[in-house]
Amino acid sequence: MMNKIVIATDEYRKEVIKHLTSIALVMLVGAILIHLQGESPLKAFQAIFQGALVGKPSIARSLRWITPCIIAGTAAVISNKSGIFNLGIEGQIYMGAFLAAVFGYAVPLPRLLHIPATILVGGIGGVILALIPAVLRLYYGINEMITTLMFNYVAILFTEYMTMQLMGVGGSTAPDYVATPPMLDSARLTPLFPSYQATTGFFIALILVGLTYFLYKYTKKGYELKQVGENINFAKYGGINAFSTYFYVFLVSAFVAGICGAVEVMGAHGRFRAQFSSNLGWDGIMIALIAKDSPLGMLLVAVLWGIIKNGSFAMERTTSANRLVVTLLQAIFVLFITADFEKILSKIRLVPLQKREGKKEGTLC
Amino acid sequence: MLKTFFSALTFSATIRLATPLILTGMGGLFADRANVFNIGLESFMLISAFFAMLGSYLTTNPFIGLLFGMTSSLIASIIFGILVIYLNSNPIVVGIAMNLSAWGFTTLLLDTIFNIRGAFIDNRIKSFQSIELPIIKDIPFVGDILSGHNVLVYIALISVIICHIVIFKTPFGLRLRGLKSNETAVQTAGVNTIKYKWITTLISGIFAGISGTFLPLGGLSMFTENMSAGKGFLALAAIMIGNGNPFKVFIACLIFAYADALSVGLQGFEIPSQIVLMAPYLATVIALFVERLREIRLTTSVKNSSS
Repeated sequence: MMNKIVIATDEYRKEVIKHLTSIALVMLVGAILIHLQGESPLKAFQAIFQGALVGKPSIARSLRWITPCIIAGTAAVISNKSGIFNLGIEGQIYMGAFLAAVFGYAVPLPRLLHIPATILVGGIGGVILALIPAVLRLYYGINEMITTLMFNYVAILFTEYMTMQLMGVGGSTAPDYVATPPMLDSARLTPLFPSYQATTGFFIALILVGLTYFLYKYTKKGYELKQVGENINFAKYGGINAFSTYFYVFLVSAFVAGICGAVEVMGAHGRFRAQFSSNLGWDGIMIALIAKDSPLGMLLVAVLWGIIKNGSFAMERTTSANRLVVTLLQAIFVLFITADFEKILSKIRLVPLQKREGKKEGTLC
Repeated sequence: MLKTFFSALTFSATIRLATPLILTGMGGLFADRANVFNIGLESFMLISAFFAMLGSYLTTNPFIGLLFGMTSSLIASIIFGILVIYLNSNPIVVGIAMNLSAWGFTTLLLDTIFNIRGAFIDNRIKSFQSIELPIIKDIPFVGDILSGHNVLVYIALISVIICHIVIFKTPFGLRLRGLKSNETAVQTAGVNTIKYKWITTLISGIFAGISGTFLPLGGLSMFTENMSAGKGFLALAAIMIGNGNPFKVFIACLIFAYADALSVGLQGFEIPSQIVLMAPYLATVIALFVERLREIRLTTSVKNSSS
């Protein structure tokens, strides 16, 4: 028992060290990159911090970006936990956003009904896109990574085409102007602070994370879902219907991704714009990955991710540094986190490590 | 409208548009055979596109650009290899992160070196000259299609044949084919699978380098932000459809490029470009499905005959 705890804390310490080292390295790379652009790194970091956290407008903008990060992250966590690689979150966001936007402007309903209905329609949009990959995976064993990846492009092009059809022939074809008519007020989420883009969508995001946490922590179903991902043979032996589990997990993940799109158009945008998502789906996948698919960890990472995203916009406004520095750094951070550093360390100081391990074993006996 | 479907102009554009797909596809199919699932091909292309442009800009010589492009892409593939093969990172994640980094990295460099956002056009960026093929040029229809492309197009066409020979006629290719169907068995037979993964990853890097060079120096003489624009994914799709067979991959690339060429040619007509552009991605899914059905039929017929 004692040993187990010792090992656990040891693992934990290693993880913390790994993350801190990665952050330090990324900051260093970032400082160099910003310096190369002729801007003081200190000033740029300060701009990120101030633009993201100081003052009500900054916090409102941060909440606006945190919201989609959390929902997309939840979608990724749900699928990853059961061993499904849903790379189609980006496309599912598009489908959800498009259907929600159309429903929001075309179907007048009382507000109390309109908002849940629009969210539901968005979720269904995501599910529609995931249906074919899910069926192909389950009945025919076709790798879901490739099919979902391909459907991303299908969704992006399809929604753009449909939007242009809705706009009529006279509309402009420049990507920025391809948009559906504005949604009715009854389908728009309430802003948290007047005149800012942060909306009650943030609470929807929190509810989704809460449900996911509860599902995996306290319910039998959640345990089954996790088991399918960790050891499918054991799960089957234990009497879990892996087939239907896969199917539902796939669709639920897509449903959540669709909600992400719906919340985006119901909150910040108010209408569907062609190619509106700035890599939100991929953000979600990376967030889930950094958090190692733990719902609460994902919440933490998503909050940080949103803050950094908003900070990067602020940095671009106030300094001459390019926003893409931050995108680049986020990607590099993911590369650092996924690498198995212990392998490098053990290769570099092969002999001392073996000696130390020997000693440890001796004391344990 | 039918004229657009079958005009020499469309076919000629098809070959030109297929070139980056073919090159990336030929390189990538080696890695696919060695079970390295690389969705980072896109990033290799984008990085090499930038450096090829830079090389050509600095020296006004497209061949130096090609050298720059291949080297930079090779370095990118080494990074991919270190992370995926040596450090056992998840290839999907590394691919996603590399695609994002490449986009950020090239745009930043464009901003830092030239102080420009979006597109960069300069007189000093020199493209490859188009070559008139001596005899083929005079054949009426075929000449219009095949002749008058630049050297990279012909390299792409020749590489299909070379890849076919390497995969089906050499010991190296034999082992690669074995790796795809049963990695453990090949390992047991004494083949160093790690070495094969490394070699194929580097090959895919070099090919993606040539392919990336074609984007800015294949006639446009310019670099735009995120220039690869999903071509790496399309090449990956072609590899999946072709199941690692060079000629099948080649044909898939041609079909994709044909759809692309049509979407340009049909813009004046009522057919929307998005629907045409969607075709390659849908075709990939359908092709995978059909291939799978064929496999299932084969295995059931084997089962029936044995029982």
